[in-house]
Amino acid sequence: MRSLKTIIKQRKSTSQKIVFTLAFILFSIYTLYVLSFFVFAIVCALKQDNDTYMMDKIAVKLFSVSKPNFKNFTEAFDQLQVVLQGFSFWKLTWNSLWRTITSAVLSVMTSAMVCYILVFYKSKFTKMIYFVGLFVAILPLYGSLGASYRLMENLGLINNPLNMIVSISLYGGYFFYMYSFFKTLSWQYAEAAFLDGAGHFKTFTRVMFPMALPSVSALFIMTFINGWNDYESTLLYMNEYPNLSYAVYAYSENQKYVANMPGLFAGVIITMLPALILYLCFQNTIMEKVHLGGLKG
Amino acid sequence: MSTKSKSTPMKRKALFQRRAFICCFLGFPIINFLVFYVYVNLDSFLMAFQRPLLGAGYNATRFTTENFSRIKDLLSVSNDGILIQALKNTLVMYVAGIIIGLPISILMSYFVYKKILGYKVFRSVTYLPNIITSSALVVLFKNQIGPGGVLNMVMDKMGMKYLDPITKAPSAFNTILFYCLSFGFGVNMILLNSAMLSVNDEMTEAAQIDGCNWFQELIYIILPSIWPTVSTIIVLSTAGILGTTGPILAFTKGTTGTMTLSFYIYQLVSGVGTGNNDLYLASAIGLLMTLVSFPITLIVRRVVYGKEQD
Repeated sequence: MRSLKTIIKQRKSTSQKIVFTLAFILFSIYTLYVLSFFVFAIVCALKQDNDTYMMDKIAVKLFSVSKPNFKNFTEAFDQLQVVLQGFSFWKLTWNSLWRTITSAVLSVMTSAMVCYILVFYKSKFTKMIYFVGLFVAILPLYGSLGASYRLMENLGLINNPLNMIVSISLYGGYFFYMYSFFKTLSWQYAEAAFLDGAGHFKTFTRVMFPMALPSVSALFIMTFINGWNDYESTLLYMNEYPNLSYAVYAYSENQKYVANMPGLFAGVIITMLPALILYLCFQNTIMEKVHLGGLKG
Repeated sequence: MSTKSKSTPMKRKALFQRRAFICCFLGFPIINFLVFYVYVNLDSFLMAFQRPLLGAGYNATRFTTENFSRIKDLLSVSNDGILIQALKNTLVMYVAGIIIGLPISILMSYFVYKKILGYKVFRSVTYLPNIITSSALVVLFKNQIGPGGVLNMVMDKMGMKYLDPITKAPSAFNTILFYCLSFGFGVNMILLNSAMLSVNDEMTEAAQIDGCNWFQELIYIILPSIWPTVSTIIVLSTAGILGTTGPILAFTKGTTGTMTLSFYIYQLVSGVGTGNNDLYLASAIGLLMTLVSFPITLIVRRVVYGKEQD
């Protein structure tokens, strides 16, 4: 007796095979397109010096490199320090690290705690909070950036590490993603813990949160990467605590006056590395644990 | 009677513990929401009708409709219609995202779901641009399409005249649009793929036995099954319709016809590229944006959720 999969396989028509082959070709072209930017960055970062870069640019030969110069990477460290006066590469990395980790932990943990209550401690009050969340997500109000800046300024939170408290947001940290994940957890585990004498807090920390950890980790990594890459809010609220992304922005702006393009590309690669490594390590977690359901009131 | 008198304090204690736990978890986020969302938006509304009172101290303001007169000026041709340009660009970005970006994301997710050859690599590469800071990615993109880059190389080989697309309108905005579209499939693809993986295999197998081809499977089985995710993406995108900014700061700072509404507000607050900031005008523009986007979001929400919403 033929198996179900064999029957399905035999029924795959030629047109279907053509479509899948075409999709494969298009995917391959797209992959080459995306990866070409990274190859381009590496090749340009290895150019002998800025003159070689300029000559290759005029001759339209930027994709070639004859004598690779790895010193550009060490020079990039020094140049970042020149562009952002007084901030060494390590200081910038430290700013990126503490700002991103603090913000991501606060944001994702708050989101997990809020969603846990909204999903498992249903009452008129928690339902109202969820509906307000829906309202906020679906009908956002624009232009509050000015008022927000004024408030932060009045509270002394501009260029102040305490402004991380903004991350303890009711509807932040991928709220709906987190909510839809907690909805898939079974409350029976918590009930068993209660029967064993555990309190609400212990049940959350020892039973329910560990079960949510894979999805929470995925959202943490996504929040971390977004935070690591954020330079616009640094420019606005934390320019005395510049991070690496901001350094690349400032560096690329500065290139108009201090030209060392291979150094810029080396700096770009250095900045990308931490997020890239984190992504390569946890890509399966991100790909498989993040999901979003419907948004219905 | 005695049982009742014993259980009541226990129940009260349990209720107290439950409420204390809820307050502990929700307390600070709610205060935060009241301060940084409710207060900020109310203040933003008031700021739309205020101007600074010069010489009367920091934060001293007067109530006026002057901001709206300024907006009228900004809409006029004599000021190059910067707000019209920003509105047009913002809407183009949104429409392109929904009409072009989302269908492509659905198709990509479908082929990844069907485990096309090399699907894991494709999936990872598609998300890759999302993990790179746009300040870095824009530097790479600008140099790739700039003089001496790949675009220059290809056009030279084809015997066509090359001009840096980012230095003039309208090619500058079209280039940014292409950048956003080509690097913007990642997040939607993950969400859609994850939704597809939860579709019942028996349904798709039964359809295939009945002779369903890939397109019919996608349209009649997969798409209806993942509709809650698709509709959520559409509704959330529409809700942020006027907030779509794109990487304008890193690309052009709004010059060469690339201004978007959201970036204009950012520029008014930060003063980047102009050296001047105007928080009050930013609030007034934001208020008008809210009034415009409100009905659009309601209509789109009604369309994608259909009658079920009622």
